[in-house]
Amino acid sequence: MSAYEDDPARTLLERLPALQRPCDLDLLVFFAKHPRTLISSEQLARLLGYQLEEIARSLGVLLAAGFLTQTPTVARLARMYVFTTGGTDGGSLPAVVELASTREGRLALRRALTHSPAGGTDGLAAQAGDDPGTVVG
Amino acid sequence: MADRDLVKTGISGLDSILSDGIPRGNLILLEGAIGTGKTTLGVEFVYRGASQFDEPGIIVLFEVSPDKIVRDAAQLGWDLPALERARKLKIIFTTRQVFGQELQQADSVLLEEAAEMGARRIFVDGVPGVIGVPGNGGGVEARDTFHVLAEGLQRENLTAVLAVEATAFNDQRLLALPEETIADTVIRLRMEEVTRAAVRSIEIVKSRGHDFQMGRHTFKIVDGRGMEVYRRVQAPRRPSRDEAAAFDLTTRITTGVPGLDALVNGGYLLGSTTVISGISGVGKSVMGLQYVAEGARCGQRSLMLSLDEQVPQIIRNANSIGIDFQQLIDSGIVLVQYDTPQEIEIDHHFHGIEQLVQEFKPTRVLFDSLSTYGSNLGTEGRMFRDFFHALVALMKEHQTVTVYNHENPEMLGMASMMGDFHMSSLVDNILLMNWIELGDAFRLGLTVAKMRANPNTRATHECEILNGQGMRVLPRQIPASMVRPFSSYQNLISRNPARRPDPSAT
Repeated sequence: MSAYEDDPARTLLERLPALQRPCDLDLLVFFAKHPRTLISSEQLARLLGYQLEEIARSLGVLLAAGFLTQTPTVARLARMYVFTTGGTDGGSLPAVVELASTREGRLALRRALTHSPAGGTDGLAAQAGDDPGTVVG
Repeated sequence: MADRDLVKTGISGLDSILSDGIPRGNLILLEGAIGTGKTTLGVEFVYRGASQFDEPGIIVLFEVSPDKIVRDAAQLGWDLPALERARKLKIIFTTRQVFGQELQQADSVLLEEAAEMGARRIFVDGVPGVIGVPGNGGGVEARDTFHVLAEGLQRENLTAVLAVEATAFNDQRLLALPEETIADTVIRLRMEEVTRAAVRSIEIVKSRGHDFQMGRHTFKIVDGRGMEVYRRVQAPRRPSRDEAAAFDLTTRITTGVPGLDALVNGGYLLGSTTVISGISGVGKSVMGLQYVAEGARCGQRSLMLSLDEQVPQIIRNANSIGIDFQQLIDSGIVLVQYDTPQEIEIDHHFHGIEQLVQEFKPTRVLFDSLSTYGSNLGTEGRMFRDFFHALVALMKEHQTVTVYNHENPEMLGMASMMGDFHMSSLVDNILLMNWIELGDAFRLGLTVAKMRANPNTRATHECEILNGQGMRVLPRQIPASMVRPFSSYQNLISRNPARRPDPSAT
C-alpha cells in the first residue's frame, strides 16, 4: 500500500493533474481569493514570492487547465484574470482551495506536489532547501 | 425644469441628509482615518445600487482581498456572490500602479469591464497616492494623479466613490486637500471620542449640484443591516415640524389623577408639553403611570420612554397602585421603551424616538425622566437644550400630549422650577411637587406653576398616594380631620410654612 493512499491532499491533487508544482498551487489559491484580478506577471511574482519565469509557466498551466481566463492580449503588461471552476469536476477545485487555506493543508498539498513524479522542486521551495515550512509565498 | 438625475445611495438615513441623493456622475471623495467605515460605506453604495436600483457596479480593491470583503458583507446581510452571479457586480483586485496606468488608457481593461456590464457605480477602496500627508504624494503630483483618475471615471459616466485614508484629519486641523477641489462631493467620516466612548460621524463637506444637510451626523454599522445614518438632532426636519404647536385649544386629555383635572382646566391640551418637577420619591412616576393607564381607559395609545427603570420594575410599580400594566402592554395600547442611560448617543436615540412616534402613533407620551437625559448629556452646553427642543417639536408635530418627569434636586420647597435645566420657556405646563414639612411629618404638595394659555390659581394642593390606589389631589378644605388643610398655611413652597392668622380672632 502506498504511503499516500490515505493522504487527502494527494487524493485531491490526483483529481487535478494539471497542478504539478507549488507555484501552480499558490497561484491557484491566489486567484481563488482574488477571482477577478487586474495585474501584471511581475506584480504576481512579487506578491507570491516566485521568479517571473515560474509565474509565467504556472499562469500557462492554469489557463490551459481552464481554471483561469484572461483578457485578450493588449499592449500593456497587466491583464485581467478571471478565476473559474469550469473544466473541473466541480468539487475538487474548491476542496483544494479550502484545504490550502490552512497552514497545515497548504503544507500537505505542497508536500504532495514536491514528491509527485512531475512535481520536483521549484521556486522558493528550491531556494529554501525543499523545506515547505520556510517557503515564503 | 427637468427632474434632477440623483443617485440614491440606498444607505439608511444618508439619502435624507443628501436631499434624496447625489447628482449622477459626481466624483465622491470619501475621506477618513483607519476604521472609520469607508470600505463599508463604499461597498454598501455599490451593493444597494445593484440590489435595489438595478444599477450594476464595480468594486476595486488594492489591499483587502475580495474574499474578505465578501465575508464581511455577508455579516452585514449583503450577498455579494449572488450579485456577481447575476452579473450586477464585479469585484476587481488590482494594484495602484496598474490602476493608475489603466485609467489613462483609451482602451482601459477596467473601464471596458465597466462598460460591458453596464456599470453605473464604482467604488475604489484606497485611491492611488496617499493624500493629506505633506511630503508624501501630496501637492501638484497628487492632484494630477487624481485628475487623471477623475477623467477616466467620468468618461464612462460612472458615479464613483473613491475612498482615501486621511489620517491628518482631526478637529483642529482640517486640511484642504488637492483632491477635494477636483471631487464633486466630499464626505468625511470620523471616529470621535466622547468621554471614554467612541462615536462614528459622517459629514458632507461639499456636494456640487444639490442641497444637503451640513454638520456631523452620527452613524452606526449594524450587523445584518449595514450602515445606518442618524441625522444630527439639531438639523431641521420639515416645515410642518418647525411650525407645529398646540393648535387645538379645546380638546383636553385627562390626567388620570383624581382631583388634578380640575386644577388643569379639565386636562392637558393636545400637542402640549407638561413637566412634572419634584425630588425623587415624591410621586412623579406614580402620576405618570396613572396618566398612561388613563389613556388606556380612554382608548388612547400611550408611549412610555424610560431611562430610569426597566420594564419589569415599571410593571411591578404599577401593580402596587392597582394598575395591571402588563395587560395594557399585551393589549397593544401601551408601548414601553427602556433605554439604558449610559453613553446615550443622542442622534441615534432621537432617531429611535422618531421612529416609535411615527409608527406607534401615540396620543400620550411619557418620559421618565428628563433629568436622566440631563445628567448624561450635561446641562451646560447646547446639546441637552437642542435635544429637548427637538423632542418638543417632534411631539407637537404629531400632536401628542407629552409629560416629562423631571427630578428637581430640592427636597423642601423650590427655588427654581427646573433646576439647572433652563428650558421652562419651551414648556406649556409645569407642575411642582414638593415635600412640605408640617409638624413632624412630610406632606405632599402639588402646585400648578405654569399653564400656558390657561387660567391658573397657582394654589398649592395636598396630595396623597395610597397603596393599591395611586395618587389623588385632596380638596383644599379637608373635611373634619386630624390635620389642618394646606389652606390654613402660607409660604408652603418657600420652605417657611406658617399658620395663617385666624380671621375670626380679630
